[in-house]
Amino acid sequence: MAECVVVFRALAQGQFGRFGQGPRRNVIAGDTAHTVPYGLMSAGQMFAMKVKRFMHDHGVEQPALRAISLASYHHAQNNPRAVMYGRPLTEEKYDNSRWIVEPFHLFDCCLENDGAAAMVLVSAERAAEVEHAPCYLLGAVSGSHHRAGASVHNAPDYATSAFKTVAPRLYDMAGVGPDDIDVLQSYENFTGGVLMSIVEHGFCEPDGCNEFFVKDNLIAPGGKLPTNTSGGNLAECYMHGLGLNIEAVRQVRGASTSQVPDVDVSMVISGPMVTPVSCCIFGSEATL
Amino acid sequence: MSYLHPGLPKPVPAPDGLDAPFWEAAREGVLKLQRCKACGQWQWGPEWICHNCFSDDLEFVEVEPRGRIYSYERVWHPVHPALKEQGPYLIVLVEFPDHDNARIVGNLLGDPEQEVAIGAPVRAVFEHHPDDEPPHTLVHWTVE
Repeated sequence: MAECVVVFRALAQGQFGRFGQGPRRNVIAGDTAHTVPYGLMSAGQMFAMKVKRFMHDHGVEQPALRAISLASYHHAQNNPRAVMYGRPLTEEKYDNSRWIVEPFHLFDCCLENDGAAAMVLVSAERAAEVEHAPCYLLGAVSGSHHRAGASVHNAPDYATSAFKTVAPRLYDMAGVGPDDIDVLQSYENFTGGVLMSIVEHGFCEPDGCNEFFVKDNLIAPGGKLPTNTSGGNLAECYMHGLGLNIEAVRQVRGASTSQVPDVDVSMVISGPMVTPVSCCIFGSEATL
Repeated sequence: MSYLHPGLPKPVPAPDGLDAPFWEAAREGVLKLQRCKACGQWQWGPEWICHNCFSDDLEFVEVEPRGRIYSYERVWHPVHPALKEQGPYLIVLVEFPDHDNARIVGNLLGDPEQEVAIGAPVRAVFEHHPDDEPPHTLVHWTVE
């Protein structure tokens, strides 16, 4: 068993290729032959129809997505490390921004940037010996649901972040519930995935999204569920979510630029709408 | 005449032949989906085994080229050079209520800025490209 594990991610898209671009070749075969020739080839295009269907099923309005973006940009203004530091977002600016693929405006989409992030994982005993305040991993799970990976958009449960079977296992492992979560980092590839993730982790009823997803509920320090407090993938840095894990640790340590008071339980929901998905909960020493 | 500007990758049957009957039927203006000979389950996309009973005895069967819109999206931002001058276009996910709600992806013909209703009945329109290399057919949809 390893004594010390370093988890890292580094991105250099300029040299190694950008996300979000379609394949450039004459022919295409396999599952993607049934999507790419119809102009369905980017991540945003793969997820937009899931979110559209969820919004249809539950009467979710565009301002609910907007609130998620506003919260991220709000937090980024406190964070000098954030790519969008000094570039605030208003409702008007969001509403006037171009569509990428409906229901996603420009500001519903994560950034594309270079960057790097790392975490060090050791045993609780060893953590006590290092100079930084330890943050404990209370639970971490990953998984999927029935035929979640069915090709050509055929997952039977389609309009989902894919956390319905996973979230209960996380709470069970960590020994906490939604009401115990002090602060949340929720992976924003696109805001719609955050919305469904938060619903599927039990913070909000599917039919209550328009009331729950307002900016004041999502911002530190006093919101009902402060979310993406570094600015996250939308406004801090798109580190494929590892930056969110680091921010969750900062919240436990009291070191966030948008600190929530007295954080004991700090949660991360990783990339939604793909399969498998994962999520984890960090805790302070008081939670042990 | 094609719905999207030319230059996107053209569909060819998978090297293992799995979806070849679908693409061959489309070239004849026929829509085929996969059905399990053992249990009768319909499925899409094509797979080597039935997801319901795990039989590997599957066939491609002609279906009436009609369905209803399960979801849709209007794309504005081009992510391929061929679409740089395209402007907005519509992608629909069409389900077949009479065929175990199997779903297929295509474009929705007509005004790209039309209002789209989830649940609306649609019928297939075959867009043939016999002179392309390789020749192929796309399956699009139009509101009934």
